[in-house]
Amino acid sequence: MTEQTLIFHTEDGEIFEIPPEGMLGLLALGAVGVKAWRNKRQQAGVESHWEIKPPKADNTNKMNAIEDFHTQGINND
Amino acid sequence: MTKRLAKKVLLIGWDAADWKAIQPLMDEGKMPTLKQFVETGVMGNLATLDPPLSPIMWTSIGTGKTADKHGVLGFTQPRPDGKGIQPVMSTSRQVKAVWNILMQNGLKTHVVGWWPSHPAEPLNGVCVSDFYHKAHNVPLDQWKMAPGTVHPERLANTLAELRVHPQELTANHILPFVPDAETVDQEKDQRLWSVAKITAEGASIHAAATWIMEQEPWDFMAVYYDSIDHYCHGFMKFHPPYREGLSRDLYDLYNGVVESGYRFHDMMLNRLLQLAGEDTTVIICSDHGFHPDHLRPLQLPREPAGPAAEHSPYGMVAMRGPGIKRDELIFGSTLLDLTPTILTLFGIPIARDMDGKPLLQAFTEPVKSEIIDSWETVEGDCGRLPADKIGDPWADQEAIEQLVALGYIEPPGKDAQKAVERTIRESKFYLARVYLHKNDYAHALPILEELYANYPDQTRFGLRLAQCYKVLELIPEARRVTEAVIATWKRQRIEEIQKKIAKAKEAGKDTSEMKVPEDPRSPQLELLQGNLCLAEEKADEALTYFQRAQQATPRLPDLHLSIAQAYFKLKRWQDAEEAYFQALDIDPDSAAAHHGLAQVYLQMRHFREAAEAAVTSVGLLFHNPSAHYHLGEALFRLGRFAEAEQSWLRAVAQAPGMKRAHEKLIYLYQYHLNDPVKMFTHQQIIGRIQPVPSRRQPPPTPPYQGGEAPPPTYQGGEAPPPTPPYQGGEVPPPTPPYQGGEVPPPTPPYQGGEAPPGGLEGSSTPLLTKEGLGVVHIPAKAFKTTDIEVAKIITVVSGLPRSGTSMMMQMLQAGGLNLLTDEQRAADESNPKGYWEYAKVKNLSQDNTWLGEAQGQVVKIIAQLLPYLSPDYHYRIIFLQRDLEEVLQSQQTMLKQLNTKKRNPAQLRQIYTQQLTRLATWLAQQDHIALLPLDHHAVLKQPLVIAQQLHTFLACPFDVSSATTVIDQQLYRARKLS
Repeated sequence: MTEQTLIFHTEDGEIFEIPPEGMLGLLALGAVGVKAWRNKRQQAGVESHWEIKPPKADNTNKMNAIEDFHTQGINND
Repeated sequence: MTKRLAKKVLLIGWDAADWKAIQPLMDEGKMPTLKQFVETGVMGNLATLDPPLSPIMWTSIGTGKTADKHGVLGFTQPRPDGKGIQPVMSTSRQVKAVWNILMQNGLKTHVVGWWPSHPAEPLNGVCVSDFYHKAHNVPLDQWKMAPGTVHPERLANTLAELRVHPQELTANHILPFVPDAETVDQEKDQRLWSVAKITAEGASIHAAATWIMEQEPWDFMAVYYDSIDHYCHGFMKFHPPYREGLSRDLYDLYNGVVESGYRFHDMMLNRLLQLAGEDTTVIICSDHGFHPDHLRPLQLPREPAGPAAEHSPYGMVAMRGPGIKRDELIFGSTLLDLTPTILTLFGIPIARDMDGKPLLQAFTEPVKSEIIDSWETVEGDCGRLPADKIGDPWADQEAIEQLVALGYIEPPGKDAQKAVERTIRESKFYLARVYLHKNDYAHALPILEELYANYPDQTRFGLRLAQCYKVLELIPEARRVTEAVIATWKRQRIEEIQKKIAKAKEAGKDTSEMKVPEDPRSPQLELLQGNLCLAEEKADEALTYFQRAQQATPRLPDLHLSIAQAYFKLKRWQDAEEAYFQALDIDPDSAAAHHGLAQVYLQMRHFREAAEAAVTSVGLLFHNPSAHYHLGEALFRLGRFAEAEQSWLRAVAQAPGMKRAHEKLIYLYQYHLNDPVKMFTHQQIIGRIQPVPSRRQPPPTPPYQGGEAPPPTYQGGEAPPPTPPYQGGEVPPPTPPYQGGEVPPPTPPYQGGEAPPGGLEGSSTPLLTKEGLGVVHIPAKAFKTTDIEVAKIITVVSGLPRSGTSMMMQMLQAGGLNLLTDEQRAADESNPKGYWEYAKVKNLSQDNTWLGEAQGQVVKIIAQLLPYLSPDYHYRIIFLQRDLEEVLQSQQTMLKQLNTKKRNPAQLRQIYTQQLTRLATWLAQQDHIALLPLDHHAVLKQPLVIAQQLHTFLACPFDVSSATTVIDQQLYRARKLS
């Protein structure tokens, strides 16, 4: 089966309609899920997205301190 | 050969995953995949190491070795040019990882996202580095993938497209984490971006891993997800139950993030297991845990890597598949055990220089692992980066500092210098903690003494130093340092409060209620002072301090352990038992409390309870020789002699100098097991044990010189935690003299005579070939093409500083060539005829735009800066080589004249050798560089021959006879004695 014709089924055997907005379950499927979602998104003409805003430059350090401890070894001193 | 149990192995890393968070979710059916996994496999705690920092830990997981051996010592490292810092790289790892060993044994291996793994290693499968998924805060349309992220290169575009950017995510992705996300004002609260970023990064890694599993054949696959750790650092404070002091609104918004993060990983696990198939042995592990409960710290330490205080000492491990038992618990595992376990599953020998052990208890059948000395010396393609790429950033930094001191390199800017200094400082501290964790106090002590002397305001350095002194029974030193730490702490608290008051006054607030205490106190201080009294055998006095701490903070972690120890010293067994119960009430997984209870029960002659408590303790924390000793004692008292023997053998395996365990074994073999041979063996060992050092014994080598550390006495696993203090006298014997092969043997005296002159392309004569001389062979080479306009070629005189480069510049000038110099650096005693330098060279690593003006001229550039030459030009490099001893001697003399700090010459010799080796490899690969290596000694001895060689090499008008006139033998001062 190629990615273009990929069809997902529910546990009941029903064909699962991929929402153009995606879902966590598709991300959890890995490469096939990501591709299937992006294809659907493209077909539906949905650019993305529900607006999630990246931090502004002046807030970057403060924000990164939360989750970038491990990527950047934040300093507290 | 060992029997192969596994056909394929999938290793899944979940950073910071913790059973304490997972168990409730599995019980509620929220992690069904993992639940089913552990019901059909084995599960257990995986004890972490100290310091519990992820790059260090994941490298230990991937190598089976501690950080003093593998060389990864923190989150960041100095940049190769010393002018800033960069994330820790795969090139810092000094030893083979399990995937290298597996590849060497003919297995197809893939690695995705391991930390650190950039640049990607040239494995026989796919390697995706830890730079792959990081979106940072770059917008979607500007998100590029760094070069070197994917091996093989042919897959780079395919895999780059699978990355998921946070801005792609929609409400459908975020609402499972934050159901009321639409109420968040993202101008003020950017946590939604955090959730999106962490989720997208996890999805990127997962997409790459699943694509590889679908498309490529494999025997071994390692994939590392950092998302659980990131969800936890950002949102564990909001995890239920609610704690006082937290914003109720934020708690209501974000209390589901950590749980949803785990559930997302359970969903991803489902897909990985589908793709792996039933014939794959799967291992899931984490490097440390993350407190999800009342042990969550209310405040983080104000120090680098302070958030690591949220980590718990137990990670998780679960295994399933062919060769693995079903539905069982395993105990006593450490993260060092995973590499030996994987090798054993594949029937491949483990190595003596690994610090872990295979988790045989998880296997369906008994296996005896084959053992070799080391995989490091086994030749063959193992998928490591070429030698010229692997470096030791800490050692390189030493060399850079020497070159800055000598004036050959521009010092980094102030901020960069500070960042580099801080990175080096922290890496040294982490290395000291690694040694402390291994009970290798002889190596930890000089590092801590140096750190505390240089940074007396860093109380954490003083605290570790005092701990080290206490263990070494240097009690007066421990008191001196502890008192200094306390004084510093009080001064800092007073200054803090004064600043707060000043700030409040500035803001026009009422400060009448704000007072500066004359003598600030804290429960932690009382605990510290009490523990010092305990070390001084003043248990009554210690109790007074502890009671004061208890009044202020009844549930202070570790306090009850100390109280129990004080009661133990006072022989108040029941009080000690009660105190240990209180410690367990705060933390039921405290290995130290269970161990303490075992000792109390031994005194109370409750041997069965003692054995149970000791078993629990070593099950939680396997590497604790003292706990194994006490378990042996309890079992012996119960008449279970064979089991007692095993416990005492484990104790001496972990602490070879533990005399009392050897004595027990001798007694056991003599009177109960009737084994005179073994008895004799242990009698001999006891005879060789040196007494506990009561004076400081510095190690024979400097603390860390890159590469292999001296062979430790430590045999793998976990060391006892800082509390309780080491239980009396069983400090391992001093580390034997350095045996490792990293420092070259002492250089033999130079034999004089004629060093063969360097030849051109095709000449196979190295400049200096004496074995052990530490001189790196740099072969001559010509340009690949011949149609290069001579006027556009840049002629470079290079070499290590003090190898005769100024002399060569003079020769070339006398021969009629134009020199590019600015004479900013005046002649001095070290170079009476001048330096012949061009100031912009010093900053070549930052700015090479001036190189165009060097075309048709000669410029002097030291060896370390050559890799920064722009590939847009052609270069003729005349490379001066001089005996390293003479170079170092001359540099030391120059530093003395400059009144600057000298560095360890043995260390520098090693670093220069490594740098030149890498440079030689690099030079050989540069088609735009022609190279003439010349021996400094030969230039002085045979100037005419050398001038003729220069003429041939330069292929331009050159006055040979004038060139020879500048040679002044009088300036050959730093000669090595024959």
